[in-house]
Amino acid sequence: MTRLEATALAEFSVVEPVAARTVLSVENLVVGYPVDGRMIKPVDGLSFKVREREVVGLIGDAGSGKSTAALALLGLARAPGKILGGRVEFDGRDLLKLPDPEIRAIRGRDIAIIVQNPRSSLNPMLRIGKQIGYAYQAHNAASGPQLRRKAIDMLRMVGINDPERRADPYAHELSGGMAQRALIAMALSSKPKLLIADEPTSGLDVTIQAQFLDEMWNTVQETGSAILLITQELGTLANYCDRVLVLHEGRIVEDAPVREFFANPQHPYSRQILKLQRERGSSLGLESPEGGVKQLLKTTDLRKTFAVQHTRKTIQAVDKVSLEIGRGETLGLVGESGSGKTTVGRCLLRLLEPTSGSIVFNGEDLVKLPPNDMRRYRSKLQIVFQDPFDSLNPRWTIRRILTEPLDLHSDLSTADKNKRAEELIDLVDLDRSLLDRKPRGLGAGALQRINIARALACNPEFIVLDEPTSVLSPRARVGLIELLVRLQKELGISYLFISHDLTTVRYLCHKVSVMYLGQIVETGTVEQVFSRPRHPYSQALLSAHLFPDPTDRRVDKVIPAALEGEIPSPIDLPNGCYLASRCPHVVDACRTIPQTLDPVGGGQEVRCWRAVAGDVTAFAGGARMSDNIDDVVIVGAGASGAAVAWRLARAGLKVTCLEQGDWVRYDEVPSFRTDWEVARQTSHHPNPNVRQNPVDYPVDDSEAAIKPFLYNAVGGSTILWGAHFPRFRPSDFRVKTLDGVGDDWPISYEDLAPYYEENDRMMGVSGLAGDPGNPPRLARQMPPLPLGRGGETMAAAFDRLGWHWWPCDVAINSTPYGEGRGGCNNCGPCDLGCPSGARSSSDVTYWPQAIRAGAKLITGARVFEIETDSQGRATGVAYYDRDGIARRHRAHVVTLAANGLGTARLMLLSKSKRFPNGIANDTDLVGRRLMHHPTGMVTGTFDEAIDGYAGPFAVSILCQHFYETDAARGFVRGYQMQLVRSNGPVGTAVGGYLPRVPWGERHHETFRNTFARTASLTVTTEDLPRLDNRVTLSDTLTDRWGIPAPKMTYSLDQNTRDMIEHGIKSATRAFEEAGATAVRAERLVVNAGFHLLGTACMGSDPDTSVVDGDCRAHGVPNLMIVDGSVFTTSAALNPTPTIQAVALRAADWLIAARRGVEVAA
Amino acid sequence: MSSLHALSQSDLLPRRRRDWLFGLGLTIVVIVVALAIVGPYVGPYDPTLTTPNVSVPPPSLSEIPGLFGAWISGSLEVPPNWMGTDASGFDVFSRVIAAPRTDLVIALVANGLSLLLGVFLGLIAGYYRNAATELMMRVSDVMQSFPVFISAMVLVALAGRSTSNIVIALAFVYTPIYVRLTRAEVMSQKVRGFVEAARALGNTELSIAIRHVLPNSLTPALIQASVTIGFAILLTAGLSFVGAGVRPPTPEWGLMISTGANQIILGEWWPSVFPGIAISLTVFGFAVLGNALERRYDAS
Repeated sequence: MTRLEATALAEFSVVEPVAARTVLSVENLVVGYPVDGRMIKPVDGLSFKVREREVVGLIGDAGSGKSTAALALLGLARAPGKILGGRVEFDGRDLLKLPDPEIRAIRGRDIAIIVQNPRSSLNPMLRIGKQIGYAYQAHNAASGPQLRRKAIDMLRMVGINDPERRADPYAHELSGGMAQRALIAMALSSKPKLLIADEPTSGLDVTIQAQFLDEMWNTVQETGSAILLITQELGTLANYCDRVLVLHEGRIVEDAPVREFFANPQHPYSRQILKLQRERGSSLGLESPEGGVKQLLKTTDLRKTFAVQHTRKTIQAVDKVSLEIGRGETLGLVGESGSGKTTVGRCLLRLLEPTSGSIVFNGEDLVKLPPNDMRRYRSKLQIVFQDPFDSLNPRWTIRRILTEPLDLHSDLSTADKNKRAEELIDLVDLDRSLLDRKPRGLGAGALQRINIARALACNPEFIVLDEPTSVLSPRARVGLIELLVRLQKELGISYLFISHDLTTVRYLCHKVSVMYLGQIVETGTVEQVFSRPRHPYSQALLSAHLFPDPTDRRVDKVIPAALEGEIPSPIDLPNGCYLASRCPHVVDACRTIPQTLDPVGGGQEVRCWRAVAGDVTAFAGGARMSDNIDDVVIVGAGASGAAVAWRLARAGLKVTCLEQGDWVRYDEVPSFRTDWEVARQTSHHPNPNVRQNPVDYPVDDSEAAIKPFLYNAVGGSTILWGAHFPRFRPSDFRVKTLDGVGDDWPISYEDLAPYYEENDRMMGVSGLAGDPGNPPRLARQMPPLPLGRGGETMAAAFDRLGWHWWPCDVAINSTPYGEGRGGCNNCGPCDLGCPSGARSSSDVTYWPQAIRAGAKLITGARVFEIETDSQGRATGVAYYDRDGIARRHRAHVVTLAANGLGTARLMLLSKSKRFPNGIANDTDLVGRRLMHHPTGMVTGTFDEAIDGYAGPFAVSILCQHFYETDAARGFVRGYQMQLVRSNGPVGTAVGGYLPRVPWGERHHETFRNTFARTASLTVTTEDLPRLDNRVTLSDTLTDRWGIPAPKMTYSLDQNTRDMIEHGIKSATRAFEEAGATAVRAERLVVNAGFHLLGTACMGSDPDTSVVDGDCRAHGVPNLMIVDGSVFTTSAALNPTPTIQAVALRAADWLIAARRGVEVAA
Repeated sequence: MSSLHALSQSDLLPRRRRDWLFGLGLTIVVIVVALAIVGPYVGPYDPTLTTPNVSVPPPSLSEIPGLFGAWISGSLEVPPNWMGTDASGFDVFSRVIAAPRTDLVIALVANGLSLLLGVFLGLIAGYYRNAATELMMRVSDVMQSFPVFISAMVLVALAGRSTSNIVIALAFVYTPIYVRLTRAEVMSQKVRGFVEAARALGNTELSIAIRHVLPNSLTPALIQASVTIGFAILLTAGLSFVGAGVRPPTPEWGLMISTGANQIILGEWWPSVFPGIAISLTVFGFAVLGNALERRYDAS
């Protein structure tokens, strides 16, 4: 480490992480209830802490004291219970010692509580707005209209549209989801420091459960509260909690970060409840029994309708359901409540008589059996119900319960029946002493085992399991699932497993069918349906389910919009698709075409014609990387993204960069191939519309006079570039002052000078300091590249004309420089990948160092939205990963470095309530002022070979004689001329910088006269910003993930045309002076949109610019834009060094201002 | 949660208060039942025979200890009239303790009949819901829409004043209560999981109704019965009071109050007040016992 670096690091290390403050600290809390003269203590020595902004999950079995503990935290106990001891320190005060009025003030204001069943917690007699108002008033001085305003604000905060109207209804008039949001609004109305949520979602449907928790989580992120979330669900823990507390017998037996808890649970209880997760890992479903399965039960077009009372209408509870279950196989039947899955189970056993259809069991149609024969059959088909407390006759002993089926179906003697009862109780792992007890007083798990034992009594072949685990505590659930798997293995029984708990279905089932409104909408193996759900409803169901996997948390992902509205009434169903009113993929035809269950391959069947046609994009879960929120997320890993990532990472910031392209593999680049010149016209064409690689997005350039050139990879467009490395001139930052056109930059050349130097050092520049036409600079890292014969010839001509010229600064090593990078060998195909690593692209310069400094780079990530909170601060970005899975990446600061096209597109895509026109686009300037460098090209042909094919692709000399404004020339601003070398043989044959060499008899002669004998001067003009030249979103064109493509609208003005004309004359003059025999000009190079500038311009006035001089977006304090988009004017030369210098300067501002940047909560 | 819930409901309620009431009710009921068995034989006088001493007032409180001592020592020729005698010369005390035989038997038998009938009909009406059972419920609605007292009076008036007719009348007016209670309970029990499970096991509907549903549906009717007995006693007495009950000289509280009432105007309060107190205590005893039972079963 150099001394300089060491000093720099020492400076950066003063930025230490701020330790989270403890909000709640519980020590040795004891709550007791007097029972028969002695105390039982449901909470006995409870100790834990909750820190600021932390979501802490508290899990434990029924009766472990969770709810008692929650109340005790508020200093409350249900009578006749008493808090017997301990401390509950909140905000530095012991709540248990506070006098009543003070603790009342804390309840509700500083500590809010949401209890089980949110719906019933609302007062049915009060309008929603009033209730929220009262909750607020309890702790704040406010009245009347003020309260109403506050209530409306709160409703808006929890995401209720049109809160003015929603404040008026009574609780019963709101939908379930709305009621919950209102409740959250109430609990959070006083921005409590701690929110205690006691199983807030028990009894809710999966989809609503996830919505509720999302809402709670998001709101808390905004208010900055901490949450103590009491739950019995591992899924809730994994997806929402940062830390897990395990409550067992009244004490905390484990306290671990959520990932650690799931990965490596310590306490035996924790290990028990996580057993399935740990044993089965992520494997999906069970292996089908070996040797294929023989069909056991098959239903065809099973229907069940119920008459609606007092009308002639019917409810279609089960609609043409066809199922097939093999021997020893488990079929999962999933769906929300009301989907008809339970009715199917009842119909299979004819506990409900099917309206029509057949149920073939072992070759016999059960529907046709007379009742007496059916009764006989019942020993072979059994059922286990959801509620174990309800499904055993409370007046009978367990023995009598277990022998009842034997009474009915066997002629066993009493002694044999008793023996069988003992066998059965052994089979389900219960103690024989239970046989003479009655069900009362037994736990749900034991009762459910007895239910199973009873079902097994007569050796059935098939058991319907109707949500058998839904009321069980976590530990009992695990035990029961294991039991069911074991019994199937030992006894070869088939199960129909009806459940809404997809986690359990995944463990227990071979196949799964998804039901919606009485129909099966998708069926397939567990693997198929869980990893590639095809039906939009299956997708919604899966995306709403909380899988117990803390590495793939819901809060870290972008969740596709939940289905709109609620399940429609099953009366009067439409002709077409039943989901049409809620489906995100709906088209008009869906509403009229009756949907059928059609195969999509591999045995999977889907009831959605669009899914069958492949029009429904897949959604699936998957792993995600970051643990917690990054300091900075950078979009784009090109010239500027790389520079910023390196600078920030080196300063100790947690940085992640998302790049849609991949790393370039230098052992596979076209430079090594003989067809390298063809690659330049195809797979490595700089125009993405020509190249069409999978990582590229299309650009609508139908209205653009200049076509876009860019590349998507780590390194961005520097991958294909010529590495010309000139700096802007001081005058370029002050064009308005000097010439009255364009705008002045808010920063000057002097502001950037140190960053130019730093950037030159990082990239490595070959060149010669001392150009009299430009400000002085440090010695270049390497001597200039050879000018070549063409360069020398033209330099001599410029000298004779008395025009300025200088060897161009180039980011190509003339001698070895940087890590493992050699010097240029003059081979030529620079843009197709430099074999010696001499040409600098940011993937070989900045990135290795950035990654070493700790920056993370995620490739294949196409960002499609910058997410914001209600205050309009950025919270992170949303992107599609390589597989098209939508993900979310949170960060305190979002930095855009996706070039003038990509950045503008992304900003326009990021519409929200706060930013209806796209983020930071209140002035409608985003995308406008698009600037290129309109380029004319003049090619001179010489009599002798000047070896123009040799040497790097880059410019050799540049002439800035016509750079500044001269009124006499008839245009403002100016241009520079750059000498570029000629093409290789194929390039020459197909035209090079000239019209193509004609085929036919003159071909060879023309080729000989051209190849190696040409040199070209580009006339690079300064483009002045115009509002009409702009990037918008295409209405029709999208990329492969369905994101709207950018559209470029661009035309040239007269000033530019005049400038190019003038430049062509000057260049022609120079060639003539140099002795060229033929000079040809191309007036406008169409394929020259390589500098995409100005679409989010920099300025000090927020009304006329998008970012300030430090690259911070006006109006979004934690959004930075660091690429060429921010250029106020374009200058007339290659922008990359300036882009990178501006980016480095912005990074330094961020480092300095780190603690002061206003970030989203 | 559920265990905590159960805990607070069953074990955490103040036990002592409930037990005190239960004990009191039970004591009263036991005494009344005992009197129904032995009452006619243990009184100092034959409850159905008059004595020459008419309208003897009961001894004053201060006389009682002395009188009691004398009675125990056998120094009295005739036993004292503890509650005095009425205008006909009946010993009020002997009749008050003999009356439960009449009142309780009528109430118990009538109640038992209506319970049996009501539970049976209630099970049918609740388990099989069809036009016939609906009709049955409407008929019982009609019956219940008349005040119990009026219905009973009319029935007795039509059938004639005999003990059996009173029993039948009472059974008739109380049956709809049991039908309704049992039917409601059956309807809630028959959709419970264990019933469905029984069906899934292959039980016939009849066997499900009798073996599974009925035993689980009896509680409300049984609790109601203990309350109803008290009211049946009151009703029996009421019928006698208005002259639609048993015939004199059968010892019966209502009849005693009725005949004694004429003397109240002369200041002879005792022939009617003592049986009145007896009725009140008895009805109170059964009601308290019923309440206690109801609470106990509710908790389970």
